[in-house]
Amino acid sequence: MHIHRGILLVLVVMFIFSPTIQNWVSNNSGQWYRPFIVWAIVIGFAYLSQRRANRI
Amino acid sequence: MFSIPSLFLISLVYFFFIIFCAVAAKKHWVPKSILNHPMTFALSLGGYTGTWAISGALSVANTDGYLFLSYFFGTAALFIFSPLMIKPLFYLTKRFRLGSLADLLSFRYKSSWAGLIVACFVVICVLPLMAIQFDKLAETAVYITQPYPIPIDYQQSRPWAWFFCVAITATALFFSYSQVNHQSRENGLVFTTALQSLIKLLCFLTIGGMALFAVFDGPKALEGWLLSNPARLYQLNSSIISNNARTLTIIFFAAALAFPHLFHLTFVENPNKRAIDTASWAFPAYLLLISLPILPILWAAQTLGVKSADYLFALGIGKLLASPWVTIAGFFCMLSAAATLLTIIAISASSMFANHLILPYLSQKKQIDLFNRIGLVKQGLIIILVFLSMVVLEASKQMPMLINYSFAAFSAACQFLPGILALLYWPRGNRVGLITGIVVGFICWFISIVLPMVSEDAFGLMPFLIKFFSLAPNSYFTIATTACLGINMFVFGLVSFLIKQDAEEAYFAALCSQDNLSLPIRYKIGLHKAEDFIDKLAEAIGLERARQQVIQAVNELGITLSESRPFTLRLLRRQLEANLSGFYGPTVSRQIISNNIPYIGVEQSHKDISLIEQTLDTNQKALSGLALELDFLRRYHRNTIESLPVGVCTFGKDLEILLWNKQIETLSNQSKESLLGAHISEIESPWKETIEHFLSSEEIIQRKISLSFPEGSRWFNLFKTTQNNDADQFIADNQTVIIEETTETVMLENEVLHSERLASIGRLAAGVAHEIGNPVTGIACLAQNLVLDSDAPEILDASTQITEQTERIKRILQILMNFSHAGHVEDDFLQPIGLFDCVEDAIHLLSLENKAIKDQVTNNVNPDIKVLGDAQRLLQVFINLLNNAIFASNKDDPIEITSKETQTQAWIYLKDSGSGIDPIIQEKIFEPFFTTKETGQGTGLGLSLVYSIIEDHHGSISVTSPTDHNNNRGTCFTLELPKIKLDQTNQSIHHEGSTECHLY
Repeated sequence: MHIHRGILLVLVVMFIFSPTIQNWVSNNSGQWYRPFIVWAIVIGFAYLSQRRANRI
Repeated sequence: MFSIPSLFLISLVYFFFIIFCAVAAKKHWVPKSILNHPMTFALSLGGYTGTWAISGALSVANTDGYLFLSYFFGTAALFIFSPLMIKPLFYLTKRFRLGSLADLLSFRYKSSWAGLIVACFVVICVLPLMAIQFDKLAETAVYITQPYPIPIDYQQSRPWAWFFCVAITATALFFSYSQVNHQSRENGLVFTTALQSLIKLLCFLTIGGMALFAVFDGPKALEGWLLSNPARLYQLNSSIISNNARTLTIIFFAAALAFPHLFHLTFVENPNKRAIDTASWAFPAYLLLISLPILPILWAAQTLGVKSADYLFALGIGKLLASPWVTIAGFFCMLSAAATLLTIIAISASSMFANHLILPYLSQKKQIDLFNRIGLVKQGLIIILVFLSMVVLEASKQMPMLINYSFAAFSAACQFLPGILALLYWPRGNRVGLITGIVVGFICWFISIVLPMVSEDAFGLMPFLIKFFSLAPNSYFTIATTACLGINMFVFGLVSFLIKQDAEEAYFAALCSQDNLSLPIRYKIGLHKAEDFIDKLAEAIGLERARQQVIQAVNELGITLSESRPFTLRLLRRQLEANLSGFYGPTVSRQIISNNIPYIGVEQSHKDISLIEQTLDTNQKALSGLALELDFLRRYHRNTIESLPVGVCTFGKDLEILLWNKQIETLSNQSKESLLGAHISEIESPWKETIEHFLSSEEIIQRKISLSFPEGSRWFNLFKTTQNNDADQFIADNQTVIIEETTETVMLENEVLHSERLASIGRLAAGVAHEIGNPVTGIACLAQNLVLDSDAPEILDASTQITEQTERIKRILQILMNFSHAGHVEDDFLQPIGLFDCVEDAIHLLSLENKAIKDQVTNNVNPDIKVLGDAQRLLQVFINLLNNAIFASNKDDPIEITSKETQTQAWIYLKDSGSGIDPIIQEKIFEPFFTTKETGQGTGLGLSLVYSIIEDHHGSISVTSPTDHNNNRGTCFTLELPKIKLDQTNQSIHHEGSTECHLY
């Protein structure tokens, strides 16, 4: 099956770090925009991987 | 405060503005750089986020905190992980012109029923979604035009709902009309959708900004407010700890792909792959931006104490801040969100419904011109669809749980996920499995989700299920959705395992599958040329349209109408089906193609190697890992075969050419491009007959096959692979022919044989001459005695004739003897000979018979040229050559003998202007007994004797004819002889006792 290795890597990383990320996001004393920070990081990764794929 | 007429006017202006923008895009008043920019496309995807992303998200955020993000995360994930689903589907939809989910599933599973069922269920999914858009938009209008606070009654919002229904129907009809007439993106839908998405985003960000800065005094103040209200943060986080968030994310992920509006925007309106690449991050970024103001707006509304339903908080802020700009921004937010979503759903769903329900029905009636009806059918369906959504809205007002309608729609859309996943990743899934799975999934969905919405306790079912499975009531819907999806998947998988798919479905499964390039089948088409498609297609869609379609497909494939290769004709058929699918949908398109250009003689074992090769070559970039390594290996072997010094070609069982390497390209003078995928009959003579005969014979080797070409005969060895039916089917499918050229070897062998034949004839001649010579001498003696014994004039005359004839026989015998002894002359007996003198002697001897010869022949040989040779035999050479020249020339034609020399070699050229020698017989003139003279006039030994004498002198002789190409006359014999050397001169001095020394 042809799946981009980058995607597999991201899925594995998300699986491994999801409890940590969830704890960090749902911390009651944290900032309300924490989920958006995580989201922005994922978008940044998507942007970089798309640029890299286009260069190849 | 806005009055009803002013808002009505604003709304009308808005719709006219949208139409104007569409016209501007269509007329290219908007620069192409903007229209075709990937960011325009990415922004247009924002049309997917209807009023739910604004009012629905506010409502969910109010009740379930961060749970509202599931909608945005699910949709964003689809694009962030675009290589998983979006990109493969993009390739498929673009390649086969598939315009909806129903088209896609119908294409993959080769089932018009699958398309029809999916189309019906998709419409069931979108109707509540459409209804809720009208409802929220109408409520917004009422909220804005009425004094604050006001409890909203449907009686007040109904006229607005119907007004928006009419306005949006008109907009959708406008775009649909443009689309049918242009069949391209030039109807401005993408541009206007992108523009409306931008308006929606900017308006919502403006409201968010007002909430943050006008209500809270900035982000720090908001942080301070949250610290003083920890319950708000706690409420935010409580929901994401539960499993609902993940399940909802998956539901929204699946629904995004199944809903026709996102499918239409992503795959139909998408200009290119670059746009998808950009959308993979830009659309998630858009979703992030539009979701960002939700919490500040919510908290601002709570702080201000907005007294309205939570989904109207954005408008409430404007009311309480007494800011008409914020209020109208809120209205534009809702209007643009609802208008884009409704317009695109109406266009895409109507098209899908037309393709799978109306057009297949109409196509049964041959007298109906489908092409002219398409637009009408689609526009009629748009009206019906929007009207139906209003009916749903009216009906839903009788039920208390309308808010759940949108969730039910998303939940239903999930039922298509197994079919889509199998389409890409599970080739074994079949149409029966798909249909059964979807039907069972929807039945479960109806029972577990729709019924509880109709009745609070779903006739006792919902409480029973909650109790039976020990479910938390607040997670009932998500668990029910997951259960329906699970049942759907299980049924789909089970049925697919139990029922085997047919060959055609397996072929399309392989075509769509991501990891499967498995050997597509090589079907036969009963047409011989591309132009034949026009007549066949004309029976279904009319001559002119058929011509247009075939020419378009031919141009897209880069071929011509005279193309006849079966492989290319198959591609053309597929291209035509894809192009027609853009008009009629895959069901009707397939029906038209299958009926008019059917496959014949389908055999499983014919694998389309050419198509696999082409697919691998064009998709090399898509390969990775083991597949890439295997592709490298394939290329390596392919290059090895291509560069072999022998010709290699491979044929399928149906005699289609699958391989044609470089060497055979050179041998046959036919390129690989023109022959790959073609039938063996396309090979030019003599190769066609040779290979056909060889393939049909039982021999596996044929040696020294002689083939005639304009430049002469050439020889080849042919080998072929044996067919082993026990072996891998892939290998057994084809036959490989290897062609080795052996012309040089055969020529060499022929030369040796020729020499051997000459030698044997010489020996034979010697024997014959010896045996005949003795009796002839006796006859001559007797004839001479007869003269002495008789005086009778008759006897004397007869005796003289006998003597003359015996003399003639002796001369012939002498020539034969000379020829036979040609190879036995010892070098020791050779003497230095001046070639000039030799030629002079020959001319002199010939002039004894005919004095005119002296004037006709010119001796320009260099008198200094000396060779070591036998004077008498060389004289014979020149006499023979001059005799032939005189024979072939007219009386006045000059004959010239010239020379050229180097330090070691001398060349004598004997040129005449005679009739020349036919190229066909030039090879034979040196053979013994070959003559063109009439019987009795020549022995055929003259030139063969010349040949052997010159060879005895270590020289060579060649002939060039014609020398005068304009008149096709003249012959030139070239003699090459080694010049005399100093030591040879001394040797000859010794033999002759002469003191003359010749230096070269």
